[in-house]
Amino acid sequence: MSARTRRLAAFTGAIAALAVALSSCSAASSGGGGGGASGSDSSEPGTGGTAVGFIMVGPKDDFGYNQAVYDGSEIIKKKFPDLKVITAENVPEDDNAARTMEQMIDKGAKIIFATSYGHLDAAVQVAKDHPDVVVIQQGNTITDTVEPNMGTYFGTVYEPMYLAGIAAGKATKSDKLGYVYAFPIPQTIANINAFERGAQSVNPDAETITVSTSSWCDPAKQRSAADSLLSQGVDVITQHQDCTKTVIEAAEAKGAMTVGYHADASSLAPKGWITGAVWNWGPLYTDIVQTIVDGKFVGSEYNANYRVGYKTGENPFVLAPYGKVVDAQTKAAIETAKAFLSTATGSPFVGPVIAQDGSIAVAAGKVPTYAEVDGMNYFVKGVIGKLSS
Amino acid sequence: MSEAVLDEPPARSAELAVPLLSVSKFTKHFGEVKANTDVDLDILPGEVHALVGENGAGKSTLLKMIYGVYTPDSGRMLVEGAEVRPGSPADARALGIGMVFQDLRLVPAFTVVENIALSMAGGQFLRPDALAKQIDEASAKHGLRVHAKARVRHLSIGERQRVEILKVLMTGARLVILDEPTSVLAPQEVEALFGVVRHLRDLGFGVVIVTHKINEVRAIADRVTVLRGGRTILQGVIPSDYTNTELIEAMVGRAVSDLVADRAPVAGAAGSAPALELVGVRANGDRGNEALKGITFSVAPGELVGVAGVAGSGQRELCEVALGLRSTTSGAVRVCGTTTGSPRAALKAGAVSVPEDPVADTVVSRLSVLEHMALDGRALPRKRMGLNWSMIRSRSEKANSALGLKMAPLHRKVSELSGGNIQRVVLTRELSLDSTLVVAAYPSRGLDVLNTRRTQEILLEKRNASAGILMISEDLDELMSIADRIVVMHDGHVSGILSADEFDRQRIGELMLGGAA
Amino acid sequence: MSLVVDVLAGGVRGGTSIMYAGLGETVSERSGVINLGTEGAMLVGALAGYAVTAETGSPWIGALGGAAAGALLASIHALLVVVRKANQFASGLTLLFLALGVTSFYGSDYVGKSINPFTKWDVPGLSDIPWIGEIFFQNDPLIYVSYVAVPLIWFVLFRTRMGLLVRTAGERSDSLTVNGYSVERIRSAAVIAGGALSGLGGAHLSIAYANAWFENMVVGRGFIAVALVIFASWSPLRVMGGAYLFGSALALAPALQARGYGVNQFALDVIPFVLTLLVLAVLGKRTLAAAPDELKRVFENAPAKT
Repeated sequence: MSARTRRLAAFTGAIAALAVALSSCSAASSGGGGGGASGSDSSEPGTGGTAVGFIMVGPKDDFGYNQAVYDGSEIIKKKFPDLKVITAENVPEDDNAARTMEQMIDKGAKIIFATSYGHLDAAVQVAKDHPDVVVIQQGNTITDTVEPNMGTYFGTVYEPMYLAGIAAGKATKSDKLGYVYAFPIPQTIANINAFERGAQSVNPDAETITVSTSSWCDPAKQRSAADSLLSQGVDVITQHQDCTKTVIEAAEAKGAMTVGYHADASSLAPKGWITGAVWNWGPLYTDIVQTIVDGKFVGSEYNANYRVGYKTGENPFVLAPYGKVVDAQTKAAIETAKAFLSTATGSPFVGPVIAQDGSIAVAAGKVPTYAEVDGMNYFVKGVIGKLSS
Repeated sequence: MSEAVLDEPPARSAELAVPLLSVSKFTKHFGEVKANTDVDLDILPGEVHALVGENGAGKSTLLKMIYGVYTPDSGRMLVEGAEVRPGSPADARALGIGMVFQDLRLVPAFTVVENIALSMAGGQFLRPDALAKQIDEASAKHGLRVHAKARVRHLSIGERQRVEILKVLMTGARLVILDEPTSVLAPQEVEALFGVVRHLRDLGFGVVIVTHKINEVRAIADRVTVLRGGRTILQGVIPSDYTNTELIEAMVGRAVSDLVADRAPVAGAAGSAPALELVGVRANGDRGNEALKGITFSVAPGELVGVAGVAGSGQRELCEVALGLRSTTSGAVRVCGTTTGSPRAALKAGAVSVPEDPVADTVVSRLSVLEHMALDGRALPRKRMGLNWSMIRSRSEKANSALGLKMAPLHRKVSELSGGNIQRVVLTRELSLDSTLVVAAYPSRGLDVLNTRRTQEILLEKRNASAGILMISEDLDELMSIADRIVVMHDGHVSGILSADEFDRQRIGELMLGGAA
Repeated sequence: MSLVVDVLAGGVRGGTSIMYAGLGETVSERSGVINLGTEGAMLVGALAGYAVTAETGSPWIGALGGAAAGALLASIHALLVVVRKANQFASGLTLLFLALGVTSFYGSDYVGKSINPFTKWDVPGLSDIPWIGEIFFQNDPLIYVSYVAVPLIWFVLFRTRMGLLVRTAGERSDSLTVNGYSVERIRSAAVIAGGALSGLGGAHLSIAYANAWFENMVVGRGFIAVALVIFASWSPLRVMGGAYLFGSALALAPALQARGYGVNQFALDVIPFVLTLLVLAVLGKRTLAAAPDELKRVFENAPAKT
């Protein structure tokens, strides 16, 4: 049972009565609220609101994914003083998400950010029920038609992971890198492959050993995974997890180095911090909100499955500040690589890309599209570990 | 301190010695129920004193007051001449009064050492080896053979009783009260127990045996006190001064003569199929062990076959296979010639059952007596969409007056009735039906002398009406007085079958303990 | 490091929290009370341990705080089950859900907080022994405490009067009343002591092993502990062995993955329960026969005797 399913059980058990009470309240008031605020049919969705809502799947100080969202919302607070910013933490990926969004709409929000992968279904529902509210979802993809008041957005996570891989490949002394991950979803596979490719580009002997915990945040399993990796001689560890403290501190205690993910956790690893791939949502959130508030959302680039990478714009996933371990030479190599990735033919996966089993997955010279990278279902050579079916 | 209190037993003295225990005019009423009224009792050192009475006569209330569980409403208690008021069992024990309960409050999972340690005062740290040594010494001294390191679960009932007695002695008792100790023992074990009791008496202890069996009183007691209806009827008298009839009259309130079965063969029974036939029956018990190991015997119509045996010899399983409640692993079971593999088949063939534990097996707690009477295995009398309660009611009342067991009123909830009352309801229901086979397990359990007598009469009447009766009982006297034959069971086997002219206590006892047939 | 040492070392480290809870539940069940809320006690212990450590700066005080939290939750169970005679399974599960909700709610403040955790301390001399040293003597202080706790609890249960009374409550409670003891008091004490140990186990998870707090971080270890007690036939020494066995089963997946083997995580997670079922199936009646007699009545749904 994943941590998220358990959260569902906890919330259903502990606040079921409260939720019923609140939903009956919002059912009573939404009728009145909906009628009054929307005005004429021709007004643009998202305009005329007094608040912006953000729902997060976890706590806002998890040194990870949700903290980054919260930091982004704080930027919105500064940039849009006329708009109230409402945030909700620990919103599960089910009907509770829809209810929470409804409450935010009742409080005057016409713009809602649903920031977790699994919030999509609830977001679509709420968008259907409120054509005057813009609901944008972070991370997932809408497969049928995108409604005029909906959109998804995300950065390209593996690009900074490639750059971080370069730093790791240079810093490692044992040539063994470790990667703790949750599930073999496309983002994760791309991350791991890019990380290894980055390391290989400066250190052909570097290997990345992968361990899956089958959970987005199970601290005990994370400790167990870190222990096993460290006992194998891994001296740089990174991860794709929602909460990152346990692995980082385990590495630091053993004297290994760390590449962070989601957030800047250098305070946890004063000695071993190399760099990390972290979210910087501020600029993207600001641009999205501005577009909506200006009444220009429908038909905009955000009214779609919006993906941005180094090539196409400002990737909200950026490289974290460097630790002491990273020397000037490495920094230069990273700058060069980043510049390359921003070109039209730049990619961590320019062919030839050899898969774990030895076959050529990407032909020499070919540059895969973002979509093709999304479809990678293999590990590249140099990655240790089997992809579970 | 954790050592056993092994006081010197009270000095053996002449008849006019100070009584170990003297109870004078104890009265205890629970609201309207007058459990004890002006009860007197005195126990001398170096004597075996029988305390006799029916269930409900007030014996247990008296004992509870002596043992500090209850406080008397009025009356005095003296221990060795000094007036005392024990307020708890611990107080009673401190006064040297020890009680061995019928259900032996030992913990089966513990060793003898642990059980004795539990009752003895002592420090936090147990010293099993030191205590084991003390136990060995005490057991040798008092003639109670006991293995200190044995686990109680593995001991026989007789051995467990010895452990209890030793426990009581080691905690300093000078008066030992045994509550119905023989009800669970085979005759040989009863003899062994009596040997221990006599030895203790000779050492100068006072021993009280609570019983309702007159022959035991004669066998072991120096003096006897009879209670009835909460009062002392005979106090501290010598058993040989009275006849059985006089003693029973004291217990019961009226003369009850011995029941003698005439054992005449029943007309019309010869040539019919046996009421119950078991051929090579093997069956497993609840724990997966083999409980019946090849049982072969039959009960003819018009015959009362008694089954004797130490508890756990397979009697329960025997009843269950006879009634189709338990499947056999091999062998055949036939009721009136038809093979019956299920309760329904057995009922159809005319079997009725008085189970060993009516509360567990027959009683449905929230239902009333009337509703229980309806559940007799016959088709329920219908009335339009529901049941014909008036018919059920009149049938029940007829059965009650026919059988004469004075069943509780029909509206009472069975769960509120006492054990004996529940037994009478079950007996009334089962024995009022026409039946070809009656399987009765311990039918007199919980009944007083009069109702026991009546039940035995009813069973004989059914026998004389050509039914076959299979009767399990722990009371050998009962079996020897009314059965045509006795089947003795031991460890799942039939160790012997005796016909009426062969009945002999000694012989039956040997067979119960597995002696050769 | 070899696979075997990696797995066994992981088994000791990951299994210690399960062992504490298993010891606690052994004490409770020996007195005749089963507590399915052990998972909840571990959870509140994990949060309390973490929070107290964060506030006071001392993991030792945090460990005490975790034990106190577990004891507090268990005292509710004792009140419901021993005094008010509620159904033991229902009460335990209800407390589990209570603990889940309460810790999720109050714990959110502590998710990212840094604390001063228990750190590894190599036992001089012993930690250098090949294999044994790596597995047993390069651990955190709470694990060393647990090495002492096992024989201590054994001694208390089997060589002191207090332990005898607790066991009597679980085997035949009327033997207690006959000797003038209060069954309720003894059972309540056992249940609360059990909760304290479970809370300590939870604290080990958060302030020594994973060094983090996250909601529901116990993820079923409490239930593994309950299964462990049955697996170990209510014996503290076997609880220790069983906890390390179960811990090793949990450590197997990452150890295999780190060496390149493909594993089905979920299949491995299920091993402790499969092992317990196997023991029940194979030894079956003998295992249940080893259960304290009063506990058997709980499983037969008979009303608790006092």
